[in-house]
Amino acid sequence: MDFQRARRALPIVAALLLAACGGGGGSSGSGPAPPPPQSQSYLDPTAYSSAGGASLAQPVETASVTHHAIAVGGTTLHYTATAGHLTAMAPVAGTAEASFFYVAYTLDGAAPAARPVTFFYNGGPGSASAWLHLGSYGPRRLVTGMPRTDAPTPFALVDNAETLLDVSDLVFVDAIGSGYSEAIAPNINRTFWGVDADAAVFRDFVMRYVSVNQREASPKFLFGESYGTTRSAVLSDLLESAGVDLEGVVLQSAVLDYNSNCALVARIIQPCTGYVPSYAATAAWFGVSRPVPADSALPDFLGQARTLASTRFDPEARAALAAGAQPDAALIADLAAFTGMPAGTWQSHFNMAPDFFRYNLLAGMTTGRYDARVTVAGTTPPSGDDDPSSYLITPSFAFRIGDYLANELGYTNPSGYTLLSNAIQSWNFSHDGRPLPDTVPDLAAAFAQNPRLKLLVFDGYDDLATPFFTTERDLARLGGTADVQVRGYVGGHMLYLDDAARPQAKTDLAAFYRRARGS
Amino acid sequence: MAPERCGVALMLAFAAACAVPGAFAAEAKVEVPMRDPWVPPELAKQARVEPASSGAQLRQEVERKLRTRFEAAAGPGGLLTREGARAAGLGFIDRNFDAIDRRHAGRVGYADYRQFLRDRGAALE
Repeated sequence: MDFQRARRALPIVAALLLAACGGGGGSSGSGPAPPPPQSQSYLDPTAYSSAGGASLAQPVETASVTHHAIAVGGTTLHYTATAGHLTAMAPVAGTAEASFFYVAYTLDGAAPAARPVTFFYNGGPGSASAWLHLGSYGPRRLVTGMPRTDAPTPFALVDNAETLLDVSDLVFVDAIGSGYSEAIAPNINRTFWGVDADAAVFRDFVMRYVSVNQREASPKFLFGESYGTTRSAVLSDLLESAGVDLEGVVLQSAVLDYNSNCALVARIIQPCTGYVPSYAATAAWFGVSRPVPADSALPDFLGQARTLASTRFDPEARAALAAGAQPDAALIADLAAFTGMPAGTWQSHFNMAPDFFRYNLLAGMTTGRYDARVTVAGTTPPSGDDDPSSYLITPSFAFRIGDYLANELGYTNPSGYTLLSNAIQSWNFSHDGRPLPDTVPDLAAAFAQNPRLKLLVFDGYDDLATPFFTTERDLARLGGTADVQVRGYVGGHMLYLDDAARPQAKTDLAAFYRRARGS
Repeated sequence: MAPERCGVALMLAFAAACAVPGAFAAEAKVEVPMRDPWVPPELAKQARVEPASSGAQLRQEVERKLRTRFEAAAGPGGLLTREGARAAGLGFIDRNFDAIDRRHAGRVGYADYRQFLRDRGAALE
């Protein structure tokens, strides 16, 4: 049983202390595959803090190293897991800025120069990478059963048939103040709690990882989720400028322009146009849209919903916001048909916000925000979190991550892993002169410096946090010259938790890497 | 948002079901409810919703970013040497300096950099 497996404690042997000049992975950038390093567990005595004013006195670059094998698609992948810290250094000056906690999975026997390396991180801001780490394309994953809510808890940890490790080495890295990542004095965690400072220190982590592990020649990819896509946009520009060429960037449930999402700005100034097709997708899932499309007809149904949103809802919503104009009765009727929400409700709540939709679509039920297919009876949140698709899975991730690090990866630490810090409450969201970030220009700047760059965008149709049509409209601003692929799936914000969507997305991911590599 | 409450609930969630964890395998902390993306309400009120840039306007915005970064490194004279690029952390310009410096002057202006990007296929004005 996986639960038993997770309990298997590795002997504490010794710490792998990286030489200051690098060499942690011991791999050669251009030579043949190096032998994997020796297994070593690490009892890290440092207590890490997520507090805004916290900092470490000095950097320590230390990691555990363990060896594993999983069966994927009829073959066995032998890999090395490295869990520990690397120090982000200020460019040029070389002063220590922050100590990043990361877990790297590298395929044994692969020549590093030809082997892609992908950096994964969640968002928040303030979130650790544990969601992607234990939920998406790592070598091990939690069985959540989403969107069902009856999977045994804590979720079982199993070998991941959809791991991306067959395609790329994987580095899961925690933002400063999350996981076991912390600023180094004289900086404090809050020094890096802003759009620009966060992206810059992530750049410096990536450069440190590349340098220490001699991965300069390796094709490099970014994989961010939610606020992590905001970070990826800014980070891709900063990395290109610093001379680190990216092959591809994967945006999972993107929020590129905070100003275009009516749930993030006052609705008196922004129409909720981008949400209308997500309402339709959700209504179709619950069978309350008219018509209820068959699975094969869903793309066409959502195409019609996009047209309704952009050509009819949007201009009327703008007129209503500007001058209090009454919406057209035929439009109201069509909105009611597509979304399953009564015409009277559309009449009284024309610029409908996603939280209102979640509380009112199904009588006596609340639907999820991250995944609107997840429902609970009633409308009273149990613990300050009103999203069942979040609070029903969070305890298992919170339970499993520290256990996994300690008992499978040999990294132990006396302090608790911070799955989510409170950084979001004091985050500096300003960027390029706007109070809330618009990072489409950052992506465009990355493309200007690297026209070969490729972008893959994953959307969940039932995601009411970062609606797919908003993302499509934001990306359309890039014009036709940028290489952008958008893929939508029946699923939520974390569509990789869905057992139907994850294999489809993995297939699309593998094709994207092949194309980015020109093979 | 209800900071702190959620974390306490999660800490206790599996205490009974999952006794005897391995060495130091402490429960992860959750300090606020997970709500990504989200901005504090007072900040949401300050947001300015202007028409989002695209086309020529977006290209000008990109150019402004690139030019600002270049000129900050170049200083008042507006010319950048390879060493100057390196000292400013502009590894891209450092790596491509010889191609940017078509006149072999040892120093380049923003126009040289811009031309280099355009020649590589950048969508600039």
